[in-house]
Amino acid sequence: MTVTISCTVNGRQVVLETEPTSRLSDMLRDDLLLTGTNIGCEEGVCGACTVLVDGKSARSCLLLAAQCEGAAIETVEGLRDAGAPPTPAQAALHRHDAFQCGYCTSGFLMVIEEMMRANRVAPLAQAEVDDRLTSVLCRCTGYLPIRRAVRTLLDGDR
Amino acid sequence: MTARNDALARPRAWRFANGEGRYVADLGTAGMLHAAFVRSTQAHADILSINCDAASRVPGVRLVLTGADYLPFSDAPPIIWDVAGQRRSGKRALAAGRVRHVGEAVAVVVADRIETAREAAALVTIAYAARPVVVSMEQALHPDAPLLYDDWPDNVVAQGHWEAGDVASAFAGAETIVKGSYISSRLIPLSLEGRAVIAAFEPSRDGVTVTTSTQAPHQVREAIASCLRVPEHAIRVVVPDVGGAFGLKSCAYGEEVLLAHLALRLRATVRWIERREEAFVGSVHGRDEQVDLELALARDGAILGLCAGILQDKGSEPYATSVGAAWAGAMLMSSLYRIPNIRIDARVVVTNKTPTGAYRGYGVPEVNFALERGLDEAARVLGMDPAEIRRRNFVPPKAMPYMAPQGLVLDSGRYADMLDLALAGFDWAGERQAAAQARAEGRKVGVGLSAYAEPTNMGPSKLCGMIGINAGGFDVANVRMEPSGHIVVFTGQTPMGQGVEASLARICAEELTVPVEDVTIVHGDTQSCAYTGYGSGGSRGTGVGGSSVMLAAGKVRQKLIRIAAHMLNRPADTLILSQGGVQVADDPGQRVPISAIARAAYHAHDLPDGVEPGIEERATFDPQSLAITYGVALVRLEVDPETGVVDVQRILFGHDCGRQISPALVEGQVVGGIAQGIGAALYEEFPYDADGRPLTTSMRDYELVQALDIPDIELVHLETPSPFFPNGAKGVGESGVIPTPAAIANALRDALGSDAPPDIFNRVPVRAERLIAPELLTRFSTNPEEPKE
Repeated sequence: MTVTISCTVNGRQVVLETEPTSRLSDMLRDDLLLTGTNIGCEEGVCGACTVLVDGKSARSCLLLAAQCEGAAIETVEGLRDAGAPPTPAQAALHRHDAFQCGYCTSGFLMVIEEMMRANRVAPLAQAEVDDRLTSVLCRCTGYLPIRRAVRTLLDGDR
Repeated sequence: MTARNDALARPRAWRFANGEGRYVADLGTAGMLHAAFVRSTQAHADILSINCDAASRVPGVRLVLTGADYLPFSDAPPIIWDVAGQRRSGKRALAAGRVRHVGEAVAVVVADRIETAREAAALVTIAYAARPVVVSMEQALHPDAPLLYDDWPDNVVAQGHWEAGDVASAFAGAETIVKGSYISSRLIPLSLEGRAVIAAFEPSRDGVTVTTSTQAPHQVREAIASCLRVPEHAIRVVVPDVGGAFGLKSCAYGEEVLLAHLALRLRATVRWIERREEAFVGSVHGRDEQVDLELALARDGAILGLCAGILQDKGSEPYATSVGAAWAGAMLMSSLYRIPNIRIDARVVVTNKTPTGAYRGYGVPEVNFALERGLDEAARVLGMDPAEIRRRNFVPPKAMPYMAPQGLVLDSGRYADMLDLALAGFDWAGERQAAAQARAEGRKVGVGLSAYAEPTNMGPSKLCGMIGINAGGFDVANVRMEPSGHIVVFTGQTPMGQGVEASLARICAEELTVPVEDVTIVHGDTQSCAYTGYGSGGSRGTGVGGSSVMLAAGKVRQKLIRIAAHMLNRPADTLILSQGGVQVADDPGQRVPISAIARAAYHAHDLPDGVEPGIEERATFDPQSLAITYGVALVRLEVDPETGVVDVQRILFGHDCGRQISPALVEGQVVGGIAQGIGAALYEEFPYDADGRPLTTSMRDYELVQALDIPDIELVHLETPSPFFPNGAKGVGESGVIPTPAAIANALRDALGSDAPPDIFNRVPVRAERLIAPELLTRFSTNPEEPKE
C-alpha cells in the first residue's frame, strides 16, 4: 500500500507515492535524493536532520512523509541556487571554522536560517539564540565557533 | 575566546558549509542489496538454536547467515596491540555458539530492500541458555568468577608490570603518602555519523570495493585480506567523508569483513548503515578504567615514588585494540614529572559488555585523572598551592630529551613557563581568593587545575614493534605535479573532521612556495594512496603524515630546480624556489614559473641528462620518537547545592603542540576536545544493570554537552618545536580531553571542600545527583538511589 503526497520541496512542486510509514527524512533522502539532510539518531534528539516545514524547524526523522501533505519543505539544498555565492550563514560558518566533520552542519544551517528570518522581524536576544542552538548537537567543535558565527551573523543582519 | 582566523582554516571545505558532505549513507547504487543484523538480547548465553526459516521465506530476502554458517569463511581478525602472553577471543563478525554481550551480532539478513531486511531480521528466532553474567571488573577478577572463555584460566586478557628505582625505600622515607582509586567510567565515543559500509563485488579484478567510514583504510584492507584469505590487491577500500570518528573508527570491525564476504559471495553490492540503537551496543565503547594510585611525597612536595595499578575493562573481547589503552596509560603515568621510583601494574579483563576500543585520549585521560587528582590531595595535605606542587616536580627543559623510568621520552617543552603563562592569564591567585570569599558567603565556588602530557605523532616503527603494535609507525606521501603545475598529494592519512587534509596542503604549499589553492590532497583510497601502517590515530596526521609530505615536496623542489637550471642555463646551486617559480638567487629577473617547468617536464623535449620525464616523488617518514604535547587546564565553576548542577564558568587552556601549522585547526581540536572533556567530567556515562543490560539505549539517555554547557574558553599557547620532526609539529587531537576531567574534579573538590566525601570526586562523571548537599539528600532518604560505586 502506498500513499500519494503532494508538497513543495525547496519551492518545487513534488508529487510522489510513498509508503505510509515512510518518514520525511526517508522521502527527502531516498525518493528525492536530497542527501544533504543527515540522519544521526532517528529519534529526534541530535537535530542533524532538521529541515523547515512551513517555515518552522522540524526533525525530518520524526515526521511521516504523509504528514507533509500540502506543506512547504525547505532543506539545506534549497538555501542557495546552483552556482550562486554562499549564503551569509554558510560564509560565516566557514569563516569561523564552525564545522569539522560536517555531519551536523545542515541541521545548524536550517536552525540558523529560521533564526535569521525571525531576527529580521524582531531581534533575538542572546538567550533565545543560545536556546535555539541547543536543538542541534555537535560532537566536534565544542559549539563556540558556531555560537560566534551566529552572533556575528545576526548582529550584522540587523 | 578570540578567533584566530588569519586565514581560512579549511579553504577547500566549502562542501560542508553547503551541507554537501558525502558520507557512506549518501552513496550507493540502484539494485544494491541491504544488510540488517540480528543482535543478541542476552549478555552471556549459549546459543541453543537459531531458526531462520521464517526470515528466509520473506520475499526479497537473498541470504540469512548465522555465525556457524560464516565460521568456515573467516579467520579471526588481527589484533593491533598484541603483547606477550595476551589471550585471544577468536571472535568473528557473527557469534558462533555463544554470545558474550548484549548487541553482539548473531546473524545477518541480506535483502533487496532495507525494510525487508529489517523485517526478516526480526523473524529470526534464537533459543538461548543463559550463563552467569560478569558485569564489573571486580566480578571478573573474583576467584570463582564465571569464565567468558573456557580455554582461558581466568578473565584476564593480559597483565603488565613496570618497575624502576627503589619504590619501597621511597615510600618508607616519605613525609606523606596519598592514596586513591580513580575511576573513569565507561562512555561512548559517539560520532554523529555511525558506522556504514558498502561492499561492491568487482568482476574486473574478482575482488571487492569496500566503501566505509573509517580512520584507517589500509588497516581495514589488511583485516579483510587476512580474515577472508583474499589477496590485498583484490580489495580496494574507499573512505568518503567521515562524520566524526574520535577513535571509534580507528580499527577494522567484523562488519567490514563480513560485508566484503557478502559482496564476494553474492557477486553483488551490499550496504549496511548502522542505526543509532545498534551503535550503542555494536560500536566500541571507551574508558571504563580504574587507576589505584599511591604517591610518596617529601615535605617540600617532591614526588619520591609512585605505585599504580591500572585496571581496564575490555568488555566481551580483547578486540583489535586489546590492551593498548592500559599500556599507553602505563607509559604516560609519570606525565610531565620527574618521578625516580615507579611501579606500575596493569591488568586488562573481559566482562559481558560491549568491547572497549579506542576513544580520544586512549588511556591517557584515565591516568591523568588519577595523577592530577592525587597531586591535588597531596597539595591539600602538605598545605601547598596546587600549582606549586606541580611546578616543583616538572622535568626541566635542560633535562630533555628525558626518559622516564618506565620508558616515556619527553622530547621538548617548557612546562614551568607554560604554567606561569596560564596562571597569569587566569589570575590564579585572584581566582582562588575570590572563590574562597564566595565560599565564605555560603556559595559553592571552586577553582582547579590539571597539567597534562599528550603522546602524539605515533610512530617509530621500531618502538611500535617493541611495544607490541602490529603495524609500522611510518607514513608515506606521493606528491605529483601535474603538467599544469597543480600539485596533487596522495596520502594514507584520513580526514574525519580534524582537517588533516588542510594541514597537509598547507605544508606542501609552503614547501613549494605556492598558494594553498594550488595543492589538492587525495586521501581515503587504498588503490591510489600510499600505504600507511597506522592510519589516522594517535594524533599523527600532521606530525608524521605532514613530515612525509614535506620530504616528498622537497624532492619535487629539487627536481624543479634541476630542470630550471637547464632552462635558464645556470648552475642549480645559484637557483632558489620562490613564490611559485625558480629564479637566480641574486637576479630575480631571471626566473621561470613552476607551470613552465612542469610543462617542460611532461613534454620532455629538452630535459637535462638523467632527468626522468614527469614530476612525481615519493617519501617516507619514520620518526625517531614520539612528540609530547603538553599543557595545563584551569577551571572555575559553581555548584548549585540544591540541584547539584555544575556551572562551569571559565576555562583557560594552555597548550604547546610545537610548531602550529594551522593555528585555527589547532584551536578547533583543543576546544572540541575540551567539550568532550566536560562531557566526560560531568555527564557522559554508559551504565549496565546487574544482568548486563545496557541502561542507555537511545540518544535521549546519553547526555552529550550542548551549546550552553560550554563556557567561554581562553587559550594560551607556547610553540616549542619537537626536535625529532622536520616541521617541528606535534599532534594535538587529544589534548582537550586529557586534563579537563581532573581540572573540573579538582575545582569541584575546591568548591565543596569538606562538605563532601573526597571519594565522590574520584570518579567521573561527577553527575549532579551526587553533588546535592547531604542535608537535601536526606529528604529523599526513604528511597535512597545512590549510584553504584
